[in-house]
Amino acid sequence: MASTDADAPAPDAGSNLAPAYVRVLVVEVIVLLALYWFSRHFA
Amino acid sequence: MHWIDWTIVAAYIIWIVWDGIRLSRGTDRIEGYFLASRTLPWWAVGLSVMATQMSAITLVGTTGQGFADGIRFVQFYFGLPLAMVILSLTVVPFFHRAKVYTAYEFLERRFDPKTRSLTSLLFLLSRGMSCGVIIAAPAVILSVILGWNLTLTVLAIGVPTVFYTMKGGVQAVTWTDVKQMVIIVCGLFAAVAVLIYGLPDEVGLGSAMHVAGSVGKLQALDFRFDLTEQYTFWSGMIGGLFLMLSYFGCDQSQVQRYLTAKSIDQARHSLLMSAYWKIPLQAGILLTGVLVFVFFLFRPVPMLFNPVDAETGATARSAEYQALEQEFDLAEAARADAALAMARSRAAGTPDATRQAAREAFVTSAAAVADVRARAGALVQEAKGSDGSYNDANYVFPTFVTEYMPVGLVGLLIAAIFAAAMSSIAAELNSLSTATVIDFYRRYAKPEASDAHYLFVSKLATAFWGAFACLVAMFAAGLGPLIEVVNRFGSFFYGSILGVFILALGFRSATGTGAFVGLIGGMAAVGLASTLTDVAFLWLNVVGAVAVTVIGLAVSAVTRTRT
Repeated sequence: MASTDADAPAPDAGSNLAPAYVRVLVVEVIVLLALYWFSRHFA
Repeated sequence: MHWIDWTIVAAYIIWIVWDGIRLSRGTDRIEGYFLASRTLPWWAVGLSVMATQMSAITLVGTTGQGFADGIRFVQFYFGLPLAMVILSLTVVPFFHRAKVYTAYEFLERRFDPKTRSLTSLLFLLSRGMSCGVIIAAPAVILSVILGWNLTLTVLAIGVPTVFYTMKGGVQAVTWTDVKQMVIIVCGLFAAVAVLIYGLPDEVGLGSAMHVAGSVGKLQALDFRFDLTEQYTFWSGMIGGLFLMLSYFGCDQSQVQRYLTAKSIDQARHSLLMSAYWKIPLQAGILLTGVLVFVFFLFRPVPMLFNPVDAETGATARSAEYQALEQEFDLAEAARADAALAMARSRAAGTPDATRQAAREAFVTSAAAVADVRARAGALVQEAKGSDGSYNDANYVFPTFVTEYMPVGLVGLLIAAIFAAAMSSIAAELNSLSTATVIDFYRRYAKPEASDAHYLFVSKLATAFWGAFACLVAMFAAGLGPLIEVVNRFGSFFYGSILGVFILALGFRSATGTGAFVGLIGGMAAVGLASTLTDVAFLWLNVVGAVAVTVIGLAVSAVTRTRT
């Protein structure tokens, strides 16, 4: 069975989680930097 | 174990079963039993996602890894936050809007029945086996450390979990997961408090970290681009990304967690909870293991933590083992003195040269202890031959818990280990039952039946998979290397299944035959890569996903041209 347009979800109107996604990635960078500092400080 | 600890463990098991059954309301319909009628809040689903991922062997094995190898294993999770963002943007809305029960059901709508059945069958085989291993691993450790009967330990973990999962379905699984996650975190905090409180007066937390850091235990990041190295920044970021995309996006045991959320956004928030907390939580567990390392610098410790292995060495190679034990006692005493001297020199603010000399003395003495321990391990492995696996680090944390935690907290920690095992097993049994009933029974055996009938069959399927897991656990417990085989089995097809979903969601031109052939080709590629090269297993996920996508697109192009 091939895909049809009916199978595809409609655009996710009303949802704006973009700031949450950016926040997740920013927090990860901060956590990685903290781990880097930790490794260096106690090396 | 003190009777108070026994009471706490027994009370935990009784309470969790009672709670699971109590929460089984609304499970008289198939949608309620498998998806909680899609009514659960994001925070409960998020905690359930985390509890499912954290099995008892994660808790016990990761602390052991922190003790033996430091915190570098944290790199394994570096791809997780980005994976959660990608999944929130892609599969979560697809699955929710498609109103599917299983991830594989979606593949039939997109491709064909054979692709759905093959991916679901692979899930059933690997998860059924791994569920047994999840029971076996803590059962073996607890039975050795506490002297419990192995079969009874397997049943003590397995039977209550099967019972509440069978009765309460996903509602029971999710809400008990939430409580079990709280118990695990409380247990870890209690362990950390005892570890810090138990350090000698001259050794503060900062000095303890410096002592651990001097032997590389706090080296979190390894930027070498070496494909044969298991845990590096790059294998975690790239290989880990593919693994987490597959685990959270294509594995029914996780997909089913967020299908229970009230809405698409609630499902997304539940995944983002892991994105925020998983790396700090794993770093915390590894640091607990590092603290155990420092704690044991100042306490008499056995040369080998697994008493059965120690007994094997002492019996089979008596003279050599005794000589090693004498050497170990001397090396350990020298290491304790050196550690104390290093901590004192830091606290006293001695000149740099003196501090450096103290540090070098400790590093040398720690290497001597590690060397004796490695030789003892090699001796035991030789004595055991091919009869069993060897992983002494798994016994470190339970040894600390049973010998150094105060009465009451021992019971809490053992309950936490049970909780970690039961939360993973419950989610897996629930998803195994769902895939069995939805992808096979309802699809092929009885497409038109009442909800009551499917519900009855679902409970039977849960009981069947529970019994299967307990049998595998009893079998696997006596065959150590089987645990490793089952763990590696998962990495053989994780990337490949991800490749099928990439074809389904990313390429409109992909056909069912292309996906099916691509999946088989991808698994063959992973098999070849793992046998012919020394590539670390995280990279196999990338190999599988890329191979399926490329082969799938090529076969799709050919089959489309023919039709």
